[in-house]
Order: sequence, then structure tokens, then C-alpha cells
Amino acid sequence: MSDVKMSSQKPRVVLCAGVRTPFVKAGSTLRNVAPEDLGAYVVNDLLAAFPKVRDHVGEVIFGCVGQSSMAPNIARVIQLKTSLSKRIPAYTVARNCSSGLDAVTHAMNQIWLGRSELVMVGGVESMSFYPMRYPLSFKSKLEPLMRAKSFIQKLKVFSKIRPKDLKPINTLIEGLTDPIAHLIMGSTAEVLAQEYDISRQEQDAFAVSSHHKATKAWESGFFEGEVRPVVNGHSAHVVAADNGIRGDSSSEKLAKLKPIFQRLGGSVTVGNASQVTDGAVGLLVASENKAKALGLPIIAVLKDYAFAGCDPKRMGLGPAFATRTLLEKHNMTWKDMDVLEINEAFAAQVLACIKEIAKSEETLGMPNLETLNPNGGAIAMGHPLGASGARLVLTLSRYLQKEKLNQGLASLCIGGGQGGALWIQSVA
Amino acid sequence: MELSGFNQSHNSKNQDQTSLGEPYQNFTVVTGVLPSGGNYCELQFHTHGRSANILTFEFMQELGAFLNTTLAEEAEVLVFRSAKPGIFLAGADISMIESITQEEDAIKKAEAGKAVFGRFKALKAKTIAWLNGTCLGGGYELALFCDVIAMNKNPKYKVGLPETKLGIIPGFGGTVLLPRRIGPKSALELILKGKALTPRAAKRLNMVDVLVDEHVVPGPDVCAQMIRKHGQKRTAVSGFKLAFTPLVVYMVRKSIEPMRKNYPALSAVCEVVRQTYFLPESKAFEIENRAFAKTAITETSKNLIRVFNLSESSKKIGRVKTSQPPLATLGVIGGGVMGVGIALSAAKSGIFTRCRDLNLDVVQKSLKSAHKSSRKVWSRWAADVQRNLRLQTDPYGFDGLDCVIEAVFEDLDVKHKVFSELESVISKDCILVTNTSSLPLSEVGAKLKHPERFAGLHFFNPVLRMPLVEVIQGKQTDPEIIDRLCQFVVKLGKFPLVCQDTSGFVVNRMLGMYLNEGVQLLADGVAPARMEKLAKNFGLPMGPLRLLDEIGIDIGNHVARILFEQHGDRYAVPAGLDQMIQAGRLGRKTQKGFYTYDSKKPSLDESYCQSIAKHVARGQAPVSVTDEDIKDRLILPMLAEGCRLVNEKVVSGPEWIDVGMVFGAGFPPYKGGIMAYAKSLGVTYVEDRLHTFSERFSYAERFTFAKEREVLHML
Repeated sequence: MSDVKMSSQKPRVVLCAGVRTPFVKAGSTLRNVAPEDLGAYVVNDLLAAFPKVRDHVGEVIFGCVGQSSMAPNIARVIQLKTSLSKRIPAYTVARNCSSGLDAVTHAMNQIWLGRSELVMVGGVESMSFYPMRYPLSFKSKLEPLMRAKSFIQKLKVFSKIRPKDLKPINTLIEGLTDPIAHLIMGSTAEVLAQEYDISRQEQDAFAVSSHHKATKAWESGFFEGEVRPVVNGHSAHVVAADNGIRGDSSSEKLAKLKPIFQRLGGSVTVGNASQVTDGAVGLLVASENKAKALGLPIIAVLKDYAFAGCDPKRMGLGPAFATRTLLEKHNMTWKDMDVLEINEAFAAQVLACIKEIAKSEETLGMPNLETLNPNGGAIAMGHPLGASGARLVLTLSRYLQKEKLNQGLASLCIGGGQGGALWIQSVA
Repeated sequence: MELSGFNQSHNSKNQDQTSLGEPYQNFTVVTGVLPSGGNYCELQFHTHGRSANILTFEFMQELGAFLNTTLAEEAEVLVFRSAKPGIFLAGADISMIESITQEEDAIKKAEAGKAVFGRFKALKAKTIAWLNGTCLGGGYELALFCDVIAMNKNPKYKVGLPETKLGIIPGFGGTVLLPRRIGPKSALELILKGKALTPRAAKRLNMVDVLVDEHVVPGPDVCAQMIRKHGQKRTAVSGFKLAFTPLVVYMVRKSIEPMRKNYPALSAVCEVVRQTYFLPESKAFEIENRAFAKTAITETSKNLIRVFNLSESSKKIGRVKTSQPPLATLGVIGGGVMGVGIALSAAKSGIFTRCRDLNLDVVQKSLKSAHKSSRKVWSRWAADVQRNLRLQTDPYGFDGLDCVIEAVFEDLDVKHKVFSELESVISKDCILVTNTSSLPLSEVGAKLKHPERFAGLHFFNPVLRMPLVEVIQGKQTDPEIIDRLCQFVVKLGKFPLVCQDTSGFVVNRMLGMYLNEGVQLLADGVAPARMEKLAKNFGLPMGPLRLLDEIGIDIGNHVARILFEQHGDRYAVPAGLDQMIQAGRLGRKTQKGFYTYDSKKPSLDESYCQSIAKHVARGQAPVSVTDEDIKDRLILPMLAEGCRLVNEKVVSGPEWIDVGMVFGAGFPPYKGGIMAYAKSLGVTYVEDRLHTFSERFSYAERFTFAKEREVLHML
């Protein structure tokens, strides 16, 4: 009850503008571009489009999962590489795949609390930039080198190093492996496929439709409204569009791929899983009053959000629980929602979510599956971890506005067993 | 807590140091007590009445006087540093060098400088040159005489001996001491190129002994430690390395062969290094003094100093204070080579730039060619370009920009369309700029609703390499907009040249004369190879035919027509170009023009040039001309046009014609610009020659030199 009281006094939080770079496959056209430069680019573009904003930004919040040691607290690095004042504080948030969504929810909190009126929000990830590392044993064996004085002593230190100490570790794979359940994310999708009885064919069909919907959205010019062509500063290549989308994708083609996470009896392939991607998103989030005072456009109202935890082995179910929490909190049912976005980490995981949501059909009803991920998702466009949440907020808000729909939910599953959901209402 | 404690101890340390009134105008003397109990003495430079620290005559006198005081004699550590941020010493006073006309005078000045610096050795104090800012020329020579050279690590601080860029050799001991310190090869390279290095690069070459963090300032404790650690270190290269000096000089001399004729200082440096490497310092210094004196009185040196002063005065107009903030965002219309060049220059200078073209493939092509032609330096720009260059096909965001530059095809209708569209989008404070090369501003901006915020910026191709930008003031342009645009041009690292609205502006009006004359000479029966060679020998980067090829015959012809329409008969369009366009020989871009470009080296297509010549000459008999005639016919009509530009008040004085010629047209800097060259020829000579030409050759208007001669008297 007290919640309701609070909310009547809380300022309304609105999304004013948003841009993103093209999402491109890791190791492709943006492989040598530092994530902070990508982030600075989207912020620069927003600042140049709305120059009045520059003196009113209260905070900079970015989501990022794999921050490089060269740019710790990447939000601050991004800020300092733009024309924003040094005096503005900046911080980075991380909650695995929903980090970009967390940046938005943090901005909402700050505005609700009256700590900021206008926040520069974003998500950024360069999965090309994830480094290789040595095992920890290599480092600890090298430590005595500092104390070694003579040549013999130094030689002794080196003589202790074994080949296994030099075995390179891919930190991307390491980061995508759950440390509690000891499962790589793809295997958690296999768990769901088995438990919820989701066939390979169903998964492939879902992946194909994701590619086709994204292709259609590009062809209709929808994505041109949010994607900003980037020049790769190092190679002078123009990167104008997402490069992971396959308009010619078909179930037959996908059927040829081998399962990658579970060779025997598995069903998750690279074709029905999200892609490893580089990209950045920038959003301007403000209180409604501030947006109006500055004459900023308003795309949508960011109403509320919820996070929920679940079994790390079944992390993919997160969206089902988070959306349920959010709907119940506001006494709503799925009938109230026109659109549902579930981040497509894996086709199996999205389909399992639908089946899990169906379990509460009697009380909450069912979401409109026709409009599930209406513009395709991470299977087609890719999943730059820290940026995806922010992209969902932007894409969903713009879609509601374009189709003149009322409201929708953007949700993501989160490695480690969580789900996040954000309730967005368009301003009709 | 810890921080405040540190501050306190720091303050108490400062209290030990006492400043002595103001007996000197050019530096402050601060004294203190070393941990060992000895005297610590610090000189903080601040050259009187100058923005930067330079070694003026008074400065040297005062320094000499100070070194004779008991204070200097009793000090155990003597530190030189700057009191001005970012600059240690920018070198000797250039006006002092400029005023030298007698060899004896130059020798005396060089001797006096060395005598002052030489006193360092006679003191019992260990000397430290603490380079807390850029240190060039005479400043670094001062440092070379010190026991320890320390430098603050800031990549913006530079250190080097750029004297040869002014046509002289380092004359305060640098030519002798640097090879002994860092070896003959590195030293020669550094001095001959006049290159200034970052602290890290300087440390790698052993030009400085120790790098210190930027925030560290000298004090008794730090300096005592520094002397202990670095004071005894050998700072000279081995005799073995020095013994190779003659060989190194021989090889270096070969590599600079083509430059030596025009830059006598280069040979002088080689000569001094070769003669002195085995001599004791005092003898070596004598040789250096004499060589310095010889170079200091050369015409070349005076000309190079003139060009340096021109560049300084050009940069100065970009530093005028304006009521509006500097441009932070830019829009460029047109993704061709020009548009992308401008966009890249701005983006790499930290200005967020929207480059709009209807076709991103066109932009990609221009970007690729820019990338290819500046591969060596590209990596330095990469991150800034990444963050600041935005390509788009729509007018999104143009309403928030500070300035929009149009760089579309030279066609009035197209430009009018672009501007009317822009005026409906941009904000009321946005500056509108055209990058036209030949159309007058009054016509490009004829249909604007707000002509007061409209101006011209004429960038040269290739934008990333050409240092000049003409800033064009229309009749109605608000003067402050010109100031802001000059600011912008300097921010791009280029030289602004303000000119009033006239078709072709400064550089193209001058070059138009040169190109037309080239084709006319061809028609008069002059062998093309002979003409091209004479132009290159004069020092111009390209002969007229080659330059036409580079510009493109079609564009050259288009501009020539516009100039003719605007300025009348003296710009009569040469006849052969139409024929070339019909034949599809458009110059470099089609691999064929006056030259052919299929092999690596462009080669002059003589037979084709002859056929064009025949076509233009229409049966007239060839005229016999001397080499001198050809050279003068190429240069003097340009000069006459420059004088006309001054008379028409297109530029504010003849020196600006030289800014345009040297930085925009590649006129040889060692000739000091076309006006300085004319002065060296003498007014009567110029007048006589042009008069003869007007009687001997057709199209006499271009040789007119009546009112024009007054301009040469202004010099």
C-alpha cells in the first residue's frame, strides 16, 4: 500500500531519445574498436542532437559485463571522452545479461529519489575485446621473481613453470560459464529444452522467424531510426547495419548445424542461440518535467521494473518470473500488455519461458504471442551482453510509439539465475 | 588525513625557500637549503614582455650577470626551470636573428651566448635543466651545457633543435654538443629535419637524462636526489661511435642532396659536425660560430624567418577572443573527397561532425582514399575519428549543430538547393559555410534569408595535408563569425587566410594565372618538358601541366571559365582544354592528361602535348623564348595578380598574398613568398619584364603592371 502512496508522488520517468551502433559479430568490422570509443560515439551523437542537454545531465550510468582492465568503470571513461563536464559523476552497473537494463532502472531510481533529473544511460560491450589469460598458477609462480636477486635464483623461479601454467584461458567462455552450476550458458538452455520438451525443430523455427522479423524491420526502415552508422576509425570502414541478420535463413539450413554445447542428444546450435557481438546503446532518460522544460521529445514512459531470482541451472526462465512479479505487483494481467520482448539468449530458453508463463494462465492470462519480439531479437542481431538490455528498452519504446500501442514489457534472462523486466508505456 | 599532512610538510619545505625581491626582470631567483646543508638555487624563467619564454638579449645579459654573483658561486645545486606553464624556452629571439646583417655581428652573438652558458662549468654548483615545458633551439642548447637534463613527462611538451627550419644552424653550441651526446647519426637527423620530440622519444635518444612525472616540481630534496642518481652519469657517446662521424656525414649528405642547394644551412650543419667531432670544445665552438654567422646572413634564412612570422601571424588571427564559444559540432554536406576530408579533419581534432550524403557508398570510397593517402599518421587519429565522425543520409540532428559546411559540386543551382533546405533545418545560431573554390560568395548566398551568418571556407585538396584554409568574408557577413571560423581553422591545425569575397579568392586567382600561362606557353611552341622542368627548378612543387592534371582538366576548365566570366580578358580560357575533355583525358583521375599515369612514375606525353599545342596555336609560328622568359612568364603574371588582390583590398596586406602562396600553392618557402621574391628582383626589373611581355605576346592584359607596382613599394 505504501508503494502506491509513494508512486503518486514519484516523478514520471520518460525515455527522450536513444541511439545505438550497428550490432556486429565479434571479430568482424568493429573488432579493433575499443568499447569506450563506441560508447563515447553514441553519447556524442545524442549530445550533438540535443545540445541543450549537455549542461543538465546529472549522471552517467552505463551497463557493461566484461569491462576491460584498460577502462575500469567504463561509464566514467566514456564520459571523459565526450564533451560532458568532468564534474558529472558516472558509474557502471553489471548484472550479466541485463546490465543495460540495470543502467535504465538505476536511472529510474535516481530520478524517483530526486537525485537526478536527467541521466545519460547506456550499455556497451565489445565481445571482441575479451582477453585471453594465463592460469592463476602462472602468476603465483612468477611472484618470487621480484625477490630473486641472482641469475640462478631467477632461473629457479622459471624452472618451476609447467606447460599447464601457460595454457591460455578464453575469458569469454569463462565468463559465460556459471560458477555455481558449472554449466556454460548454452547448457542451461539444453536443460530447459529437455525439461520443457522443446524440440530442435521448434527452436530452429523460432530462430528463422527472428531473422525474418529483423530483416523485415530493417527493410521497412524501422531500425534506421535508432541505428547510427559508425566509421571504424582504424580501418576507415563504414559500418552501417547489423551484420548478423540472415534474411535467407531457413529451417532446412539450420537443421544442418551440429549441437555445440551438448554433442550427444543436444539441440542448441549456433543457429538457434544468440550471437557473440560488439555494440553500444545510448539513451537519454529524464523526469517528465525536465524533458518538457528542455523541450525534449518523449518516446515512452518507463513505469516500473522487477527482478526475480531462480535456479542458476535454469537461468533462462528468469523472464517468466520477473514478468509475473511485475504484473502481480501492479494487479495487471497479460491482457494489459500489447507487446512482450524476451531477450533471445537461446530459442529454447524463450520457448521455455512461454511454457512457464502459461503455468499461471488462470490468474494472469497469456501474452499475445503474435507480438512476441516483433522486430526479431538477439538470435538475429546478436547479444552484446551489456548493451542488450538498453537496446530492448529502446526498440520496444520505439515500436510502441510507431504502432500506436499502449504498453509492453521488456525482459531478459540473466546468467546466474535471474530475470529482469521493465514496464514501458507509450505516450499516445 | 594523509593528504593534508603531506601538504603541510610541503608548505614547510617551501618556507625554507626564499625569493629574493625582483632584481631580475626575466627570471626569479629562489633559494633554499639542501639536505646536506649546502645552498640550493633555482632560476624560474619568465621572459619580460613576451608571452612565451625566449632568450632575448636582455635575458642573456641578466643570466650572465647572475652567474657572476656570489649567490651563484656559492650554490651547490643550480636549477633552471620555467615559471610559465607549458613552455621552458622557445629558443632565441627570432627578431634578433632577423636583424643580423654582418657576419662579425653574428659571430659576436654566438660567442656571447656560449660564454654565458659556458659559465655553468666554471661554477662549483651542479646544474640541472628542468624542462617543465617545451624546450627548443637555444633553450635546449642551454640544457646541453647543464650537468643533468630532467624533463616532465607530458607528450605535449616537445624538445628539439629546429634552427635549420629558419635557415640557420644551432649556434649556441648545439651543433657541436648534440652529436657528442647522442651520437652523430641521431644528432644529424634531428638537426637537419628540425624535428621536435616528445619527452619519451627524447629520453630514448638520451637527449634528456631523466623523465619525471608531470606534477613533480623541483625543490632541494628532489634535486639533491637527482644529482646523486644522475649527476655522475656519462652523458657522451663512446669515442668509437664518434669515430664514424665522417662516414655518417657522407651518407646523410647524400640523402639530403636535392634539398642542399636551396637550404645552405643543411650543408653547414654537416660540415660543422664533420670538422669538429674530434676537436676540443673551444676550437669546435669557433668553427660553429663561423658557420652560424655564414648562414645567419643568407637571404634564405631571412626568407624562412619571414615565412615563420607569416605562419605566426596567421595563427594569431585564430586566437581572437569571441563572445560565442568555439565551434563544438560541425555538419558537412557532401561525402565526396572534399567533404570527407573536411569531416575527418574536424573529427580528428575532437569536433563532433555529421557528414551527410545521400549515398554512403560514395562516402566509403572517399574515406578509403583518405585512409590510403595518410596511412602513416592515421593511427593517431583513429580513436578521435571513431568517436566524432557520424555519417548519415538524413538531416537528423542538423538542428543542433554550431556550423554547417557545404561541400557539394560547384554548381550554383545545386548549392542554392542545399542552402534553402539547410535554412529550414538549422538553428538560428548556426553558421552556414560554403566550401566553394571559384564561385563568389555573393552568388552562392544570393538566396539566403540570413546572409549575415553566411561565410566561406575554402579548403584545398587533399584537405588532410594542405595547411591553408581561406576564410571568406561576404559583404554582409557578421565579423564575429569570421573570428570564430578562424578559431575553428586553427583548431584543425591549419592556417587561416581571411579574404574578401571575390571569384577564385586568393590562391585560385593566382594559380589561375599560372595554369593559363602554362597552356599559353605550350601554344607558343615551348617544349612542355622544358617548361615543367623550369617550374620545378624554380622550386614550385609541380609544373603547370602536371598541376592541371592533378586538379583534373574538367574542373580546371570549369574554374577557368568562371574566372574569365568574373574577371574578364586577362583570364582568357586556354583553348586546348575542351579538346582534352572531349577525348576523355581528364588528368590523373583518368590516368591520362598531359601526362600518362599507368606506370609508377607519371611521364609527360610529349606528342599529345604537341598536338594540343598545334590545336591552340592555330597555325601561328612558335615564338622563341629563353629560359628566363619562361620562368618570368610563369611567375610574374601571378605576382601582378597578387598586387591586384592587394589593391582590391581582398586581403589586408601583401604579406597575406605570401601566406596564400606558401601554404596554399606550395611556393618555395626559402624564397619567402612571391612578394619577397619580387622584392629581391627589384620593382624596375618586374616592370620592364612585364612591359616587354605585353608587347611581345598575345593577351596582353595579364601583363598589366601599372597601379600594381605601388604594392611592391609597400613591402
